[in-house]
Amino acid sequence: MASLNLLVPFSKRLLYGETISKDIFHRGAAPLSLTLLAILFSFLLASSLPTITASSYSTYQYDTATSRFSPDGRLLQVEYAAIAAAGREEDETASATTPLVVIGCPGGATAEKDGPALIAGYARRHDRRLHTTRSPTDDDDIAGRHHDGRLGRIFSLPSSSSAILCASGILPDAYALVSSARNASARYASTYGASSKRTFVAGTTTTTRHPPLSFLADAIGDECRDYTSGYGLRPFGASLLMAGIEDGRVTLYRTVPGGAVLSYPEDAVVVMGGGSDGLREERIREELIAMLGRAGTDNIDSSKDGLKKMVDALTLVLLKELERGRKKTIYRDIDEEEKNDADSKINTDASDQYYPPLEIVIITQKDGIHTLDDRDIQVIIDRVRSQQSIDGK
Amino acid sequence: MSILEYNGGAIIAMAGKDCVAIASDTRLGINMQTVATDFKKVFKMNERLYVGLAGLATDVQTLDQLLRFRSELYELREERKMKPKTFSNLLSTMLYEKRFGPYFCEPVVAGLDEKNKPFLSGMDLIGATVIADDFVVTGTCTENLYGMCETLYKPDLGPEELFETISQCLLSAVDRDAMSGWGAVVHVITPKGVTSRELKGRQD
Repeated sequence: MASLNLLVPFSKRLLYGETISKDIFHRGAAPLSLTLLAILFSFLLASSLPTITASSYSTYQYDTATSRFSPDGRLLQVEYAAIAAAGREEDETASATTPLVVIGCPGGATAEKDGPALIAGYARRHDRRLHTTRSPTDDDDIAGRHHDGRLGRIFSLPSSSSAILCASGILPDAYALVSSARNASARYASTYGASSKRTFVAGTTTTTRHPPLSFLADAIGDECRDYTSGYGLRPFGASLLMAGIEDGRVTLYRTVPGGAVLSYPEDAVVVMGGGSDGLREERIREELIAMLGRAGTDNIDSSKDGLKKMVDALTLVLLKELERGRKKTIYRDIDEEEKNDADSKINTDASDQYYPPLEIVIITQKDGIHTLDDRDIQVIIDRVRSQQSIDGK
Repeated sequence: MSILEYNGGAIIAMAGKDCVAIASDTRLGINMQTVATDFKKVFKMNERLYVGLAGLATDVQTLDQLLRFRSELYELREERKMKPKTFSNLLSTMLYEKRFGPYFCEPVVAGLDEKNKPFLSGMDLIGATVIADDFVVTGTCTENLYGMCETLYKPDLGPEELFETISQCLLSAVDRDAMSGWGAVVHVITPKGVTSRELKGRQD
């Protein structure tokens, strides 16, 4: 409607302080009632502008191309990409539908503690009875584990035993970034990494120096930024978290679609794919911090028992989120009674017997990266459920 | 003297029953001057695949780096280890890509395939591959190596016998070659794991 187009600059001028009377004088022909309607409409529009909508920006197409700034200095496509990077609950085939949680655990000074550790985990929403993302092979490497393949959320790096990449957002975009990170890591190791005598001396196993995580984070950040300059390409709708243990410290770096690199403290609890408004992410973080008893304490137990406690807490939180998400999907029929019950306890679904819907990775300084296989995860889920029924929650 | 004989070296790979062994000398020389006696020429690509590179030392090291780069990325993408046959093909392609400015390196590939059967292949510096089921040799004294292997080789040797056989072949062959010797390393690859041993032969 042409009149709508007229109203938009009206509201903008309201914001910028000009008076309406001057404009009415210029345009001349508008009747009084329409003017009053226009004023009302402009106020409505003005009040809705701060929250993210396509309303006024799309009219002038400020948000359709990465290479355009909006008049108030925003790169809208990049902001939309950041929303995509948080994941969407509805799209199960190509977007991160469930949160991925990474818990950092710095090493302690006392003897009982085993040194720094990292735990990462996420729940899988898609029902493996209907489809799998990867066909099983006889290869011993992946027997006993269900592989999400390229739509997985946790990836490893070459030449490195203690770092992983965690993805959220549009998963094919995340995989492209992972591929890029792997190439960058291998190129670095090839060019700068053959520094140890063991590379050249007969009878020894070659060890190459893998790049520091900050290098990789910068490399990925730069690539994300390159795609925000236009050239007809959209930004990556994915956020990558690089997690590892370097020089005895837990190191966490995260890239966002705009190209910035964020870094987290050693004892961080990071939730990715928590929804675009961040509320879900906050809720999960607070729940976990309360469960782990970390609020306001410097004393973080990273011994075997401590790790076990963390894995249990993580499992509980992930399963709760999974159930909360499942209630929203359309192919599950939940009648009213079950809905009330499901609020309070975890659904014991028979499919979980054979395909535990979780993936958990533990990184320790001593043992490197350890991915729990299906049997271990099933044991943990059973333990957590029995604990829940004991607690009567 | 040819560029392939500048640094010197000798490598044998031999197949046994469900096992392979690969052995090399450890001399690094510059023409007739010996510079190092612990130079690595056999490289591990994964638990069941080793590659031996003989020729110009800088190309030996560069090819090792490149092969490790490619096979690690392959493993990450495919989420499985590369088969020896595939690796051999990759190496051949990489060498031919430099057809008119080649790597001065003649490799041998030794590994166990997914059915634990031994795989051996050797190629020239531009990638012409030959796949053998008994032994492959490369280096500056290939005539000596072929002679020793033909004499001492028997099919279906167990890991220990294979180790003895390949060691004798290598040590005797390099004794008659000025450009190789000064110690040796032998890796025996079985489905259970790899055993690596260092040999001390004539130090000349």
